[in-house]
Amino acid sequence: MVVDPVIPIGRARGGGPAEELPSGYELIKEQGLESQVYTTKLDAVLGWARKFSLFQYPFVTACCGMEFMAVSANHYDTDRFGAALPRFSPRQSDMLMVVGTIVHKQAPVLKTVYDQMCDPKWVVAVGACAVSGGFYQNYTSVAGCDKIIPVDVYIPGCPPRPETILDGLLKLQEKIQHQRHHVV
Amino acid sequence: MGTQRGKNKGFENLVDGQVLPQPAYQGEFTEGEIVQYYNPESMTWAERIYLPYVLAGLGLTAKVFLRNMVTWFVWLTYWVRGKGAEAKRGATTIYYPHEMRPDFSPVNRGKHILTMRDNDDPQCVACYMCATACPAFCIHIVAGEHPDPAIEKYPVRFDIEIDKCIFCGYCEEACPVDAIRLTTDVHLVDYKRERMVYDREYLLTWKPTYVEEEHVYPGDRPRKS
Repeated sequence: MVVDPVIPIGRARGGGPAEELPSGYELIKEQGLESQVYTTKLDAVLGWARKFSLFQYPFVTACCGMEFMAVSANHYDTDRFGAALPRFSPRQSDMLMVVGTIVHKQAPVLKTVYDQMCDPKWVVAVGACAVSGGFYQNYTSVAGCDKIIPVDVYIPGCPPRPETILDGLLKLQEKIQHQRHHVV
Repeated sequence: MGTQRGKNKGFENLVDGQVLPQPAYQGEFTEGEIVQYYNPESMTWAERIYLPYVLAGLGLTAKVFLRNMVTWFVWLTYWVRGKGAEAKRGATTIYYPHEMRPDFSPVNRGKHILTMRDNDDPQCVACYMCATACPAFCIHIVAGEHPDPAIEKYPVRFDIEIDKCIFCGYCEEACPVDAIRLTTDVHLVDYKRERMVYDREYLLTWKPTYVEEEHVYPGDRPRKS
């Protein structure tokens, strides 16, 4: 067994806090506009509104879809988090859930689907295959869908338990609450 | 009707409007007849006007709704007395961030831990058995020489790529010294893939990755053999 020395040792933390972005006031202060511009909490209001109305596009390609259906069913109700309605058109959705293995032939399709979604949009990778390729380390599979599109939340597991998927949903809501929302 | 079904038996593959071939037996049908397939007219008069059955469906929905509602109100009377766990709830939903499901499997395979010796060193002897058995090749070990000659080797680095792991449990089966175990902790979600490589020190902490006060974990402790 050859050990790959390229693996980064980072202090692994299973789920840290969301990235702290500079507030609007700090950005304005950098430009010397603090006497002319008044900052409000519009980002917080928009984040609160957007995190509870996530319309998802399930890009389900493999067996993780079964667990995804179990999350949508009544035991683990995603409707409690406002993410119940799957829209089967990417133009109507704002959360792309990549559920399952992405092979190289599907990669342009996934990229097209992501490009067709309107801003604001978020991507959740569900399952080991979508996160990192899983144990499909061969010439057909993409080693994680973040090779193609930017991913906001990674949900590992093969398949992930419904609790893990709901964890990912809560993490995404936390990220949406704390991020900048550009109105114009 | 029933006779129509019997007449068409054996010719289900024919397309509607097709001219039948030779009759199978005398009197089956006349040669050159146009086949017409349709469902037998089996609906009753009440079914044909639809309205009683629409009302029956609405009644079933209302019955389930009212039953759940009454069950919730009965649960509420228990809950105000502080005995909410005794009564039945009106819905089967598990309110996950506040509670785990009661039948969560105690042998569910989740986050890995490394067991320790008495002096808090890892029990692992860096034999690479788990890394060899791993179908996802997500365990990476760098072995070092242990000062104790009875132990021989110890892991200088022990990294598990939790984003690649498929939680099959082969590593704990392959381990000869019971050094690696899988806990029931499933809270592994993260924002960055770089942080999803669990190193040796983190695997030795045995702490669940997601701690809140109201969480009830049925099995966070490592499994007893």
